[in-house]
Amino acid sequence: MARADAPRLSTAPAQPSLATRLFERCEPVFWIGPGLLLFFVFVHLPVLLQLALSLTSSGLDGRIAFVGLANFKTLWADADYWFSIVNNIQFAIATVIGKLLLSLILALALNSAFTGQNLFRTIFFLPVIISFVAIGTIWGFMFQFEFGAINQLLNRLGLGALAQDWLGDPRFALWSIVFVDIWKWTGFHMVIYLAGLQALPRELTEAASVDGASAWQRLRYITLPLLSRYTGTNIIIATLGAFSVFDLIYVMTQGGPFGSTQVAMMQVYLQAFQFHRLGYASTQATVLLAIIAIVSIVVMRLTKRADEGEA
Amino acid sequence: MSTVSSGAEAARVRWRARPRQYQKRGVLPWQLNLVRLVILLMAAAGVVFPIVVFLGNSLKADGDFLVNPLGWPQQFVFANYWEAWQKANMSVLIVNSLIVSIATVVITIVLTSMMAFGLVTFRFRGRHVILLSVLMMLTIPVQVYIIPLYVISINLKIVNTQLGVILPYAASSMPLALVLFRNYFLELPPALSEAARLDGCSRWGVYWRIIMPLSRPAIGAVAIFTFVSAWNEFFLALVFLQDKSIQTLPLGMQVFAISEYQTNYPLLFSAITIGMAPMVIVYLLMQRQFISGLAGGAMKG
Repeated sequence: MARADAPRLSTAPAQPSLATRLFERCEPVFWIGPGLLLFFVFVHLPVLLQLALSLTSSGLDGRIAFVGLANFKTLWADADYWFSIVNNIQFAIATVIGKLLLSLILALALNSAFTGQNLFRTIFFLPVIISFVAIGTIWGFMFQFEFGAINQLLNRLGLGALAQDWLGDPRFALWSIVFVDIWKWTGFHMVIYLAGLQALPRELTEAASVDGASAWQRLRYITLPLLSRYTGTNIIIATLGAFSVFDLIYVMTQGGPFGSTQVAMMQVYLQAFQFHRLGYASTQATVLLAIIAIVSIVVMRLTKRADEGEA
Repeated sequence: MSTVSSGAEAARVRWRARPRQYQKRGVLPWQLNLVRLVILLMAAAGVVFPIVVFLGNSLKADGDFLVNPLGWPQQFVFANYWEAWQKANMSVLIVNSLIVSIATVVITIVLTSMMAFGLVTFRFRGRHVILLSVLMMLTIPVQVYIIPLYVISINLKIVNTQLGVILPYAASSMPLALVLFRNYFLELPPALSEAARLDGCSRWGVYWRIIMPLSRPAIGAVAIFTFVSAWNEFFLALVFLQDKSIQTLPLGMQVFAISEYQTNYPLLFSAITIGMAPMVIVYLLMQRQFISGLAGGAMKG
């Protein structure tokens, strides 16, 4: 009995066949390979190619010629591009501040159980799931000069003097779009702040109010510092969205009037798919990519420091 | 859809079970409570007002709209909707969007969950590099690398096909989905899969019969944010889908908006209303899952 079993027990686990070992070695490839391949072809490779393409002059016909840094030189002197970057920075600052303030106010207002909390949350989040095309059409109508609801409303209230050509006037167009972008995303940022507020230890604010701290003091010295991580998340998401904004502007103004709503992605789109200058458009996109990378690293650093400072 | 709704049930149960510890009142004076209510009502009006005016106008006759763009419709013209449905080719657009969104969701869930399972199960050199290289792309929007993506797609001959948007949509959803799946798998007790292995279950069996059924909440969250972003995506569709027969809903709505019908506002508004209705209805039915799926995912990422 023992003699018959002994060899089987010792050899079987110690010496698996070559095929089994090979199979076990390759098994991770089966699990990870397909996903990684898709991701590599459609994300990694484009990002790498982006840098390469920005050193070329290429058209839609597929001819590619290496031109070195010539595109960057053109870009440096391209007033339209820098104008659109300035617009984009204004857009980013205005939307980030607007979204953060409004969403914080709404989250604070909503952060207590009362009947209707869920109803308000559902309403505020509604614009998040509506596509930019639909939102662009809704607000394109709201802002329309002749029939638009805003001017109509102003007329009825006897404030006709305030009526403006909101999207047709270079002074107002960008800010009108800023307003719509804030309208769409505030509910999203509010939900993130709400999650933060509900994770707060309740004892802290209660102890402070027993010690006589006013509502404002509790907000300023307890709630806001403890929310800094959520503020950081909100800032990053809003900033990334702002620098890649395209849909809303394409639907509402196409960059006009007089280029007053031109933004970085609009320029990239025009250069690539209207003028077929793929190489130069890649250069513009590379600069945008660098801006996005720098901004997100800076914001992450800042919020991390704030977080550690509090902890 | 079944995975989503069962994940939904689990989420609902958890919601009920949670103690409502923040119910205690008395910290705020009543004046502040009043201010709070006023703020909420004003904000809600700000969200609802444009949508209601828009819906009202979609039901007006063209002439009625031109003299009375703000008020109640003189008479409800439901025929607008039928006309818009036909002229904007709504049935084709909705079917196309369903195909694209569902394919994106399925590809993302299958490939990403397998990838997360592989990264959690096997200890091999380079797995951290793989994970990091995917997560690094979390903050880079697709728009920014559209041109090389376009060049690659030309070479793969998928420009102007639905696959041409499905694959980039799936790939761009992967970093966030990978974070969600990986975190979820790491929280599952390893004893479960070890026991199954000892009982003679294959790796695939562990993944398919044990890990995936236990991960319904994660699958639901990934399904929701992938579906919503694919359903609403506009930019890639604009670049990749030229044929009218394969265009998705947002692109088709935009094409309709800039076409000859733009002079007839009520008709345009009806078309847009039809286009946003499916998503709004599903959202209202499952708002809890939508809100946690969309915002919760962003928070973890």
